[in-house]
Amino acid sequence: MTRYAIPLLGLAWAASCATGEVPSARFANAPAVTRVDDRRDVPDKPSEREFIHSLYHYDGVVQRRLSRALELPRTRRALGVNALDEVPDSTWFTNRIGVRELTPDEVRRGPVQVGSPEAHRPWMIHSTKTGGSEPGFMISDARGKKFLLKLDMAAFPEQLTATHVIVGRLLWACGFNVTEDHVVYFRPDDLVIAADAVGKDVFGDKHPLRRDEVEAVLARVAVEPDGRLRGMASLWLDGKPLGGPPAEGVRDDDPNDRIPHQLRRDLRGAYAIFAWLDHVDVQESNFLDMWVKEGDRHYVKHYLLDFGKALGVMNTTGINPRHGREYVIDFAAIARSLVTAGAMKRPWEGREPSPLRGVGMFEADGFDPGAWKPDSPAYVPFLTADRFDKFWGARIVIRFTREQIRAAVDAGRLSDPRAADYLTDTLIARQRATARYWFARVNPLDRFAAASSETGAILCFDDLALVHQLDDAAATQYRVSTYDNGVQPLGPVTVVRPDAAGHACTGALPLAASSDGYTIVRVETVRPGFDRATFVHIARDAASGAPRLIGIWRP
Amino acid sequence: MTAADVAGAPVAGDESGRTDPVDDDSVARQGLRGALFVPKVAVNLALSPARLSAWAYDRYHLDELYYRVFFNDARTIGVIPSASFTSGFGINAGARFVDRDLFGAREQLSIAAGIGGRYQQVYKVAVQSGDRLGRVAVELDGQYELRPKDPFYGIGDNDDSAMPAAPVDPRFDPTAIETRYRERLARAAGIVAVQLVGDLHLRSASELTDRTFSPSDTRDGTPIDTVYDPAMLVGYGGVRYVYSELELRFDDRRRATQYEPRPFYSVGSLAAVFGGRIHRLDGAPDYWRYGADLQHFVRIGEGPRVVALRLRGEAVSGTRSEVPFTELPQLGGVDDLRGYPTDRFRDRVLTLGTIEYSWDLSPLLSASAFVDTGRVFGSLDDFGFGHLRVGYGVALQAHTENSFGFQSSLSSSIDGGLFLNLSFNPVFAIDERVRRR
Repeated sequence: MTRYAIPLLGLAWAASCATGEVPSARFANAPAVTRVDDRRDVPDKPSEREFIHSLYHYDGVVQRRLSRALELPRTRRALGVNALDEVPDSTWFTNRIGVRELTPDEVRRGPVQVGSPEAHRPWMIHSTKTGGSEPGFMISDARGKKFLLKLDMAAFPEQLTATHVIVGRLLWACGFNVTEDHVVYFRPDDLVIAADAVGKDVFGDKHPLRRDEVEAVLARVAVEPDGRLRGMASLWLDGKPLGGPPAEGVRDDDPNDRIPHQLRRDLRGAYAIFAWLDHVDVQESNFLDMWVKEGDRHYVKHYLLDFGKALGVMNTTGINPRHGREYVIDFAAIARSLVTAGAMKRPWEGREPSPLRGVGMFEADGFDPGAWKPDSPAYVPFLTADRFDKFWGARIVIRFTREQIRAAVDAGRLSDPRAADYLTDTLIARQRATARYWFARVNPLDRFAAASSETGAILCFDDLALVHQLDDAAATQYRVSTYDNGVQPLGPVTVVRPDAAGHACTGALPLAASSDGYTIVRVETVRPGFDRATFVHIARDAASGAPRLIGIWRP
Repeated sequence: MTAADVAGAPVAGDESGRTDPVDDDSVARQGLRGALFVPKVAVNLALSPARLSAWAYDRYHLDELYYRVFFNDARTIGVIPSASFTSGFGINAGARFVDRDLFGAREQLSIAAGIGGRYQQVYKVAVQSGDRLGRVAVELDGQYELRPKDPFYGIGDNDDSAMPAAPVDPRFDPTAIETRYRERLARAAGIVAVQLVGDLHLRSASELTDRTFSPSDTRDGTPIDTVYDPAMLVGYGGVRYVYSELELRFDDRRRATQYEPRPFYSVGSLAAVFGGRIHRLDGAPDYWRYGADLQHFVRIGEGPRVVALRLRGEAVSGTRSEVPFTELPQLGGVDDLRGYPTDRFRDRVLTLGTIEYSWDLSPLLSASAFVDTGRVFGSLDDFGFGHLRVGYGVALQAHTENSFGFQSSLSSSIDGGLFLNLSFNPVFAIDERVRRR
């Protein structure tokens, strides 16, 4: 008896492994959802959320952090994801780059609705800008279009304005809703104080705006050698502002807001994108929900705002090289430094501001896409984000071509061409670092396609690590195995290899004998130092009988 | 994209296409979460005052409100609250009125009052010339203090001892017991500093001081006259004098980069030598006071991480029978020979060495570890390296980019004791003789 026990146990273990390695995720035999309807009528305006800066950060850094830990939150996969592990279009996110043709010119223009106010001067000042460190005004141009005009601080010419526009263009191309922003040049006498213009203090008290107040603001800003001023004009959004969305949970008075924000893939996956752009100023006030009107209906549309401190500008204007590498109040970093008596090298050491006009402390050297930090841990989606979310973000980041990135940089109208070259090169270097990092943590297979074969289906896919020349095609192979819905193997494991461009197709794969041929294809990518699998779910289209993709599961 | 484009699409949350059962929390996790509900409520309740403060701070713009209430629009004239805590003395609180631009050249007027703790009452007035005189800076000070329980441990470098049977003569008897005395101090002082070249300054300072003393209340500790014979305490009957000194000071201490906090020196040196004459107005003999302060800051890393070295020496020329007991150089306390009680040692000669390593914890927080060593001597002839007192400790400093906030230090010494201090002055600030206690 004992002589046979070990082999029998071994067989049982092998059998359990064979079935146990197929995750439980199953998908409906239906086309993947590419857009959701979160534009259903919200007739009553949701309440406006007041952003209380200190409270938000206190909660994020201390109290909510503690109480959240006591709630024992479990690690959860993101929601707001379709069967193909993609984010469908919504009021939060619209798939753009890589999903449709996006010319460099489109990237340069961004979300243009009315165009730049630069040619439509003079501008009427309606009020001074409150909040934020940078000077500015609320203006309307000669067409009557309303803009928020922000200006560069004298010590940091071109940085804030260029960065705001460049990052806005890139985030728009990624798929987020952003404001229509333009770098503009003007002369002080292009600014006319409206008869009803008001100055506002932090208490909200208003008084008639005086010329000397305008001049006091202009005295703080950078002036071009020819006497012109440079600004960033941001088109006032349509609709009624509701403040930023909560970092956790949903807006209770918006019935379309059904997915807790800390579980949204588009918000969680933005981590990889924001890290790429060093967009550290992530807080509720830099998101804005607008209650918009479309025909007879109203709904809430979600925007990202205020990117002027990205690309290392927070470091230069805040005179602090830690941004992006530590939270502003980073208890872990404080504890590490305290315990080691400062003996440990910190990740921000050695950083220097760029000598180029318009460029912040932005570099590719030392950029760690997995260790990047926004200024505050208060933004919960970045705390709950997992490698799958960041892989999603990295897939978007790597889709940008040099021409598209350069087009976005050109929208920043930097006066020094070396600055534009530097930013482009650095964005590309960080783009590749981002992809390299996250493609090593999730099997980077993408663009799956199923086709009919005589005996079942052929599955083709791209290996993004090879497509973008981050890894070696010659050293890569894929082990392909198939299972039916009950996790019974359908055939032997086969091995396929990619072509030089990173594209690969399986041989004919058997489909399950069930009526819809529900088949799970396990594609395991093997190369030196890497061995991860993706599960592709295929079934026959009931109408055509042809195999089609119905789900992708990345374990 | 419009509402028409998405008509018929699933609502948000129904896009996954998943048919397998939704993964939910385990029973164990739910149970544990239930068990942690009460601790969570307790934590939230305990932290609610801090949360309320954070809310109120922003909701009512308390920082701006403070300036609106206590300062003029230009923020040049206003009132600043102050507070400090010192082991053995308690909390001192007060306020300071400032006008930072009296006549348009950053001339400054400061009037301060405080009460409690170390000072039962303190009133100070100061006028500074600001930029008015270019390379010359002038300051006029007035000061009045009622100090209820200043410490006296006898004279000399003596270890703690037992209570004597009768009051002793501190000039000759080594008895060292913590006693307390009461003091009234009135002082007027003037300082003229001239920038000679670069970081080299010549400073001239004079003061007119009047001090009177009496035993402290027994609730504040052992009264001085129960241990030390008041008749043998030089100056105990009252001291009045004029002190004038000249100081040559080279000071290029500074931060190394703009990324380091301005209040902390990370590079540079200080070399200051001074000499001054005490002219007694009460008929007692005159004498000299002289000394030197050397500081050097070695930046060993970013942040910054800095090793600071300091040597300080001070002496008076008069004998123990000539120099009032409050005018003898003193060691011990928040700034000098940390790890010992305030004014634990005093005698005619003082030496102090400090090595301090400080490093940043964040842009707003630094830590330091320090060792102070020194002792007092009866005369320069007694100078040596034997029987040095050694204090050590750690400290946390809070600051902004531009200003020092406070320092909290925990210190001890080879002779024992533990001291927790909160100070609003940087340790490496220069000791101005004409403002000393």
